[in-house]
Amino acid sequence: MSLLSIRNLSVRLGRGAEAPAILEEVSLDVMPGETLGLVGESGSGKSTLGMSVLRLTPPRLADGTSGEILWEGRDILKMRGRELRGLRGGEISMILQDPMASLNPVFSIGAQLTEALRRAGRSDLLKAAEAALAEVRIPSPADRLRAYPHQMSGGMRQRVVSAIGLAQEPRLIICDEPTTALDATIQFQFLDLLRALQEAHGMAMLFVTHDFGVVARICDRVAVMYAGRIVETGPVREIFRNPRHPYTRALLAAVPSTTAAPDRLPVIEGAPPSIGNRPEGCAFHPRCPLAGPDCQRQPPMETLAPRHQAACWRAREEAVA
Amino acid sequence: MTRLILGRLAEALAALLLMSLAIFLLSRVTGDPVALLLGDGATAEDRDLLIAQLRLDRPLWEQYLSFLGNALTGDFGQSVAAGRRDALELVLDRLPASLSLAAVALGFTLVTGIAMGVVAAITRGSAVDVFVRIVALLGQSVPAFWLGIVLIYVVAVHWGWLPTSGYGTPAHYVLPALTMGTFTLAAVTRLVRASMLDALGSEYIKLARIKGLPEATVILKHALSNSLIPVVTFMGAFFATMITGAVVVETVFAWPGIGRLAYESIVSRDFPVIQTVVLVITACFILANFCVDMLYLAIDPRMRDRG
Amino acid sequence: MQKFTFRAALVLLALFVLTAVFGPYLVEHDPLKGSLRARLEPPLWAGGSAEHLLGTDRLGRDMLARIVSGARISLTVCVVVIAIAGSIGTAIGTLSGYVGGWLDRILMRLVDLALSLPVILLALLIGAVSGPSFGNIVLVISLVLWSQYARMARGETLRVKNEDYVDLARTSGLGHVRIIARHILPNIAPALIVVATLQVGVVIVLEASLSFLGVGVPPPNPSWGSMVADGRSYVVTAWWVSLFPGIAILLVVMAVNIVGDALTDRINPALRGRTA
Repeated sequence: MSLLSIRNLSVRLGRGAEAPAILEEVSLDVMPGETLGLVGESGSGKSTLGMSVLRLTPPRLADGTSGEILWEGRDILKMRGRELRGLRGGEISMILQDPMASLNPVFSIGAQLTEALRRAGRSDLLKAAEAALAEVRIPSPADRLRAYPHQMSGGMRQRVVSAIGLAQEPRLIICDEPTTALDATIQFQFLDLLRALQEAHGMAMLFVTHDFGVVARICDRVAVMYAGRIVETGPVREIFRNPRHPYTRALLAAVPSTTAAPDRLPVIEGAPPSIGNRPEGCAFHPRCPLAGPDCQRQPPMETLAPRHQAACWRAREEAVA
Repeated sequence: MTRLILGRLAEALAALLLMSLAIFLLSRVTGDPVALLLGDGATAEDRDLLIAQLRLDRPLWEQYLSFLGNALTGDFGQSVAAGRRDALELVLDRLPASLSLAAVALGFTLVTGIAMGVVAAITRGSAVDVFVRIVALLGQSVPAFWLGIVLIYVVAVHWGWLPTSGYGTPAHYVLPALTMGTFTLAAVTRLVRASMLDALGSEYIKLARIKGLPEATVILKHALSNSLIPVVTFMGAFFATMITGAVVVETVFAWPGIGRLAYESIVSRDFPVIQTVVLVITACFILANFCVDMLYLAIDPRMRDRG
Repeated sequence: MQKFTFRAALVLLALFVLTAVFGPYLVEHDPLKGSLRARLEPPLWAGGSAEHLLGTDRLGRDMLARIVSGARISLTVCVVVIAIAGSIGTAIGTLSGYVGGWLDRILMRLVDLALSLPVILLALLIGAVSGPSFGNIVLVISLVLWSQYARMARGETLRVKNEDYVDLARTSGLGHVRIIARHILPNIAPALIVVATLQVGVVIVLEASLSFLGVGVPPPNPSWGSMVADGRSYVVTAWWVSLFPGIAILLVVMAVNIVGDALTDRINPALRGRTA
């Protein structure tokens, strides 16, 4: 019984079927308590997907959105003001990429935190705020309540943002590249923290990233995106061991490893298509080593193994060396 | 932070001193200071008395010191035109009228300007937005002295709704305040609109929506609080505009304030009064800017940690 | 819609410049000489004659001729003031930004001080002491405006100074003056042009205001400001004397602001709406 169910979601730059599409016919499920990774390059549409769930896309994109996003049976895309606002923060929350920009510079950390806590109906606000900061491992939380965003480091700010995200005990938290803006040294610390929080609160996570290393560390399942479509989904272990879509294979091959040390890092020839310039059929076929004439038709998602699906005519073929 | 405040205070005093120096030099360096300060009907005794009093036979720096000394005791000389009345007394007499007009104009400007800017930003692209922007453009382009005259003609003479000039009832405040505030109103509107558009597109506003806050809170609490900071930044420039505005508007509307006093004393070449008016207005201006600086420190937490 | 207003504004500005430069040669009446028989004649459509299309003032001088001459005065003051304030301000700002250190600190203190004083008042004072004159008004308005150039020039210089091509120039042994002239100035110019454009409106209104008060352009020169002052006492009966010069100011300043805004958008969107 899935928590979040996205069905045939398409997001275009404006109304009308000819408008360039950012997302095309995306379907996805998130189960309670699981961490689903959403991997793709810039321009794949992964951030837009994340933003669409809570309907935070700019008006132009919102106009061109079609499909269904079902939360416990209710379609988020059809919700009206009050219902939508109840959903936001309360049941579904988000952590954005840039922690400095996410926090309002003129209000103290405490004020921004208690604002979220108040919505959760908490009464002992100061105590609750202190506890929230302690939970995200911020030292001397009582003092920090009075601090301002510019007085904190990037890592700490991101932890504050997480605390705000968790304040209303959501059942799903969407993370849009939360570690990209952090120093490499603290990225893993933060990921471990997220994992711990998730287990403690029993939340599901939708984790948007471009980094397979992050996926390996923290996700249960992963969906790979390319040019606005999902090309492969499956459990993380399975995908790493046995990637079936040529794009996934190429991505994984390009990840530098500490064990294998090739002379040159394999590179994917060409570049992803820009929005509006997507080729007929499978968007990857111009760069694909296995491409054939039938790739001019969009391949459907095919189930290859339990919970492992890929959209490729050649999915069952063995990898090319 | 105390160091910051003391620093600003020191700067304010330095500015005031600089202005006094400029005024002093102007009076001593251009031709005959005695004639300037005494006017035409001065007798030889008056001249000698003044020369001794101001130590005009002493070197310039000594003169400046005695000038300052006199100023500190409130002695700015006597009006040449208005029958030997004490200059400072004359100026302080007229100060309240100007301050009350400026306060009304500023209040009107800020309230209306901020409201218009916010509305224009949230209805971006709509007819309302376009209307507001046209009004703002007009407001920034119309010269105050001309606007005042046109308003008097149309509203007061033609329609007879309001008095044409003078002072006394709240009705008298309407046209002068409107004229004085128009330019600043337009500037504030444009500033607030631009800042709001910036703020509304920022990440922290997204986060506020993510929290599920009502839209009114998102706009008025989170976006507006950030948008007001640039308005405060420009307050200093606005004050300067309002001073020019004061002189012009008070002249056009025969308002009994120091602006009009400045104009009258220019016409009657009453140097002691002009000098006093300039110093008093400068002091008010510097004081106002100092208050704005303090306000800035209060509302933008990022400033408190900078030097 | 926006394109249209921009083009219309440019056309108006071109008209203004052309009128200022060539207009006085083309009008038939002398703006300074009037005939008392023809005093306070209304414009053509309000009962006047084709002889004086926009009517005459209290000394019988032709309004159209005076407005055209007023354009020339406004333009001249603009050009001169912006040239002077712009050069001095840019020089100080660029130097301050380029050299840095104690020189920067002192110069910026100076700019801060200049900005913290209501220089308008000095203008009134100078005007009162030495009476209205062209020199005075140029000096006084320049005093008000130079600091804006200094601030902008310094900010831009600091930004450009750290760009790679400046480093390259320095490592190839170029002298400082060369670097400033060839690399820095051309790159800070766009922002300064924006400042200059937006200041044109300010100069025109300031000059008009000072002339209105009697401390600006000396009579009988037909500055638009002094024309409005002239007509003030009989605005009820002879409204055209004060009305037309004011409309001229309004139209020109509006056009300048529209063009200035468009330029700001193009060159430096960060400044949008912030040039109060």
